[in-house]
Amino acid sequence: MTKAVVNVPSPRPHVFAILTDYPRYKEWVPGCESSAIIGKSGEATDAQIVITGMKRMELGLRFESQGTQSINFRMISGKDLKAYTGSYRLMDSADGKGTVLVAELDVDVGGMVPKFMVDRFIGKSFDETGKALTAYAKKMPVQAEAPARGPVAAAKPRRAKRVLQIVKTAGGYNVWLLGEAFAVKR
Amino acid sequence: MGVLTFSTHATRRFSAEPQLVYEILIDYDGYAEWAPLVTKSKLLAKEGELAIAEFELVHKKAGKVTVEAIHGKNRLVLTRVISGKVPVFQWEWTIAAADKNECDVTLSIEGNKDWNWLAGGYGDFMSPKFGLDRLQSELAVFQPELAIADAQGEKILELSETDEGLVCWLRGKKYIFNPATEGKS
Repeated sequence: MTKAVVNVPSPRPHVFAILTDYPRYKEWVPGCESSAIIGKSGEATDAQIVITGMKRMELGLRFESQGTQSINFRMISGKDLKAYTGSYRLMDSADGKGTVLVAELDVDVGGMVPKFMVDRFIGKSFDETGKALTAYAKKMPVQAEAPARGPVAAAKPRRAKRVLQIVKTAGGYNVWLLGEAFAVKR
Repeated sequence: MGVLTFSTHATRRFSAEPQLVYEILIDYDGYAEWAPLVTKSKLLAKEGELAIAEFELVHKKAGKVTVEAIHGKNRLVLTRVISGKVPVFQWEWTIAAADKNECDVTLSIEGNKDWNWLAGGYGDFMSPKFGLDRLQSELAVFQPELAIADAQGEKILELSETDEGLVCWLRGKKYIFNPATEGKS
């Protein structure tokens, strides 16, 4: 399983809308020649995708989404690969300004292709797709304005962190500085 | 563990509540202040028990290290590397309550066995004992009362970093300082 994290400076509903607009994948997914919906049932959508990477591949993929939080996908037809499964998990960024996308992909190409080569290719593909998604999300108008969010990290106050403490005692001063204690005698 | 990977762990008892240890471990913005070799740290996203964070290390060739962390309230912080050229792929912190205001913390580290990493100055990064040392230092910053028996004397001066700003107590009076705007005196 290869993983990647992409920081997209666009609201989560916008990024989710792009990722689930399967017929338009050819507009932004690097190497995507065509993409068409061939079936739909509830939250599951089947799409036929032709993609050119190490070689030209035709895949039938089933996408299943949950809210605007995740999209799982797996290969349901195709002769070029033995298995192709993965997911996108979308999270609101901690600074409240965008979306953090966690992508996972597992590919079994079969045959004698070493796994490290496949993983390297997937890693490169994630980089390119992440850049393409960021650029496309910026270019496309945001359909539904997301409600304003504050930074997630600011929701909980941080515990006070002591820096310095000086205590006067009968014998002098006790000084505590960033975790270290010193005694200053009269 | 395979022949190309290693697993090592260490346990230490701390004079601290499990909650304080847990709060330090899930404060990803604060890792740069104590975690070995980390120079910059930033929480990217957090939802429920999952967090995504990004670190920069002393070693520039490591690039940005992105991790995912799974939390178990006050008990567990499991951090896995998603991207970045580092010899470790997982840190697991487990916190077990011991006596009153004490807890046992175990740090388990798993990574790639390659002596080049040690030669490259990653030794501290791969050492659970060193990780626990640094955590202990950070805990001390939140617990000056352990080092100073202030009941035996008069507290003259105390400085603390808080959400309000830098809070100063001087002879019983409270003062709050905020960062000066850049370029202004």
